[in-house]
Parts: sequence; C-alpha cells; structure tokens
Amino acid sequence: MKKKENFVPVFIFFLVLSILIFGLSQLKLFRNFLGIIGEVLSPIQKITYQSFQSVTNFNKNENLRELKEENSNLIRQLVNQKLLEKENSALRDQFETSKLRSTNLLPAKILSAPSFIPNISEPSIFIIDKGENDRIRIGDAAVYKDSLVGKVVELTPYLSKINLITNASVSFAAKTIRTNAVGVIKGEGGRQMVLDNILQSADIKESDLIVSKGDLDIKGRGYPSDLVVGKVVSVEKKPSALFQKADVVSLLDFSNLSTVFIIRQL
Amino acid sequence: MLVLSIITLFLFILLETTVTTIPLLLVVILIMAVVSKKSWIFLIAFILGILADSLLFNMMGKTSLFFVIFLFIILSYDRKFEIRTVYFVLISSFLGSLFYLIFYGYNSIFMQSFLSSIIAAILFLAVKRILKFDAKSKLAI
Repeated sequence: MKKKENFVPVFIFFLVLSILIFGLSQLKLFRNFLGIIGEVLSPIQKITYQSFQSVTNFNKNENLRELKEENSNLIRQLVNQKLLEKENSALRDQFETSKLRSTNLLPAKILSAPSFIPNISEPSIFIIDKGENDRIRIGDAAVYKDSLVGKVVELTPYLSKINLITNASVSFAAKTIRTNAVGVIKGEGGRQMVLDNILQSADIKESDLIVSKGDLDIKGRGYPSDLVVGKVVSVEKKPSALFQKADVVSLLDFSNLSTVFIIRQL
Repeated sequence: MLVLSIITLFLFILLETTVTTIPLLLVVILIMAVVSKKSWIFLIAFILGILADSLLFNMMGKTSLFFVIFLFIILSYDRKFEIRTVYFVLISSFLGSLFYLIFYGYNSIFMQSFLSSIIAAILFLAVKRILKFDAKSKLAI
C-alpha cells in the first residue's frame, strides 16, 4: 500500500507564513503590493462587473426603471424643498449658518460589488477604480445624486473600498426630514437599516424620509448632512423601552449602480 | 487538464472578487485537495488566499490562513476515511463554506453554503469523469 504523503511540515510552514503576513499586514506594509495587483486586474474586474450588470438589466422592465428614476428625482426635489424652507426660516430668524469647506465630486467606476446572487442580492461593499493617487482619503463619503452610498474605509494608490450604509459594520447619526427626529442608523445588510436610539417623545412615522445628520470631522471627512439615506417602513414604539426604533429601507438600488461620486476635501 | 484547471481557477477568482460572495475558491481548493491529495495544494491555497485578500481589501493573510487550516482538516480525514467521494465533497464543502461565510460576516450563509456544496459536487463529478478515477484508484497528478 502506498504510504500517504506527510503534509504536516508543509502545513506548518504555510500556517506560520500566513500568520506572519497577517501580522505584518496590520502595519499596512503591503499597501503598494495590493495596489499593484488591484491595478493590474482592475480592467478585467470592470469588464466582468459591467457584463453581469448588462445581462441582468437586459430583462428589466424599462417602464419600471423610468418610474424608479422619476421617484428618485421627486424625492430629491422634496428634500431640497424642505431644506430651502428651513434655510429660509433660519435666515429670517437671523441665524448664522456655517459653510462647509469647498468639496470636489470625483466620479468613480465600480469594479467589484460581491453579493450572494449578482445584481439581485444587495452588496455590502464597493471596490472603485480611484485611490490615494486621486486624492481620496479614508473617511471620504460616497454619494449618488443626493443619496448617501457609503464611506471610504480602505485604499491603495489606485483603488478604494467603500462600506455601504447598509453594511452591518456601519452606523451614523441621521434624522427625519419632517420632524428632525434624531437617531442612529445601523446597517443590517441587503437594503435594510435600523434607525435606533430615537427618543420616545420624537414624532416618527412610516414613509418619513431619513437624511444624514452630518458627522464631518475637522478635516471635512465623514458623512455630509442632508443626504438621503432611506425611508421608514415600520416603527417600533414600546412604552417600556427607553428608545423607539424604526426600520429603514434604502431608496438606492445598490446592485444596479455602476458609478458613484466621492466627496473629496481639497 | 492543466489548462482547464488554470482557466477555472482564474474564472473563479474573478467571480468571487467581483460579483459574488459564494466561496468558489474554497470549492476549487477542496476539489484539488480531494483529487490530488498532495502537499503542493497548500501552496496553491496560500497564493489564492493572498490574491483574494488583495482584491477584496481584506487583511492580507486572513484568507490564506483559513484555506491552509481547512486543507489540513480535509487531508487529515484522508487518514481515517476515503475522501475521494461525492458525499465527502458535499459535506465538507457545505461545512467549510458555512464557517467561511461566518468568518467573513456575510448574509444568507445557509443558502450560500448549500449552493456552494452543489457547485462542489458538480465540479467533483465533472473532474471524476474527465480524469476517469474512482475512490480508490491511484491518481498521479
């Protein structure tokens, strides 16, 4: 009977090597290496992702897409109108408003958006074709039209990784446009989020639009205020609980996006 | 056969790092380990792990670590059972995918693991037909 190969020394060698590389990667020593691999394979990734998108979009109802686009535009107009009303009121009361530092929108193509079923399930991250060399920094927000998409969490010289707002590791402050009820958005995967830590006294109901409250740091990085996050689909209000919470669904179809815009701080 | 393996590997790397979260690389490594039972598979697993980490912006070495440990467990079973069967491939790919998806915090873990085990079984049966081997035959790869 043939003696079975002893693979234990090989296993130990690669185990130690993997642990070593894992440890060294915490020191961000491999960023340039990652950047080169990403840059080399990014054209193929782009073609693959766009091919999957065009195949699944082929069967989608054109009317439905137009209706969704129109709905998205109407929501944007509604949000802008509410903001104008508030600004008008603030000016009338002679409040001072602070201006954000000048921003620069950088369009970026999505190279990769892994999900369970491509273009049907929702992804939780995007890999885009812009990186440090394009003056993107960790913490820069990603948007699409007036909707918040996510935040840059990792980057190489050529590519960046964005955690979507629906990613389970994401949380940020948000508010309702109607009553300014403030809460914390937590991602739940798919297109689902939870608006938690809402005061019991706050007025929030189904169909309320949720926008970002804004958490820009001193360098101007983070989520800008008043960007559309989603819509409330249900409210959970228990008298015995400290806070109420609401289920929020994103109005963006992340699986159908091919381009996002990064808000750079110059 | 080598050309086909390389094309399949490349395709699966592209799919897993671009459009899907189903652990296709794990499936490929499992099939290669079960069919070849050689220690060079650890090198392949290591390289695939590094590639996957670099394209998905994971911590370098994380996926390689998982693959190497997974392979060790699979090949350890060879000492006790016959692993070159579709039943072993089905169960090990399901469990391996389940732990992989939990490790990375993905959603729909049971559905994805189930689908991954189906893909593994189909791939294994295809390789078995191409290479014309059975559970006990000596396969010089």
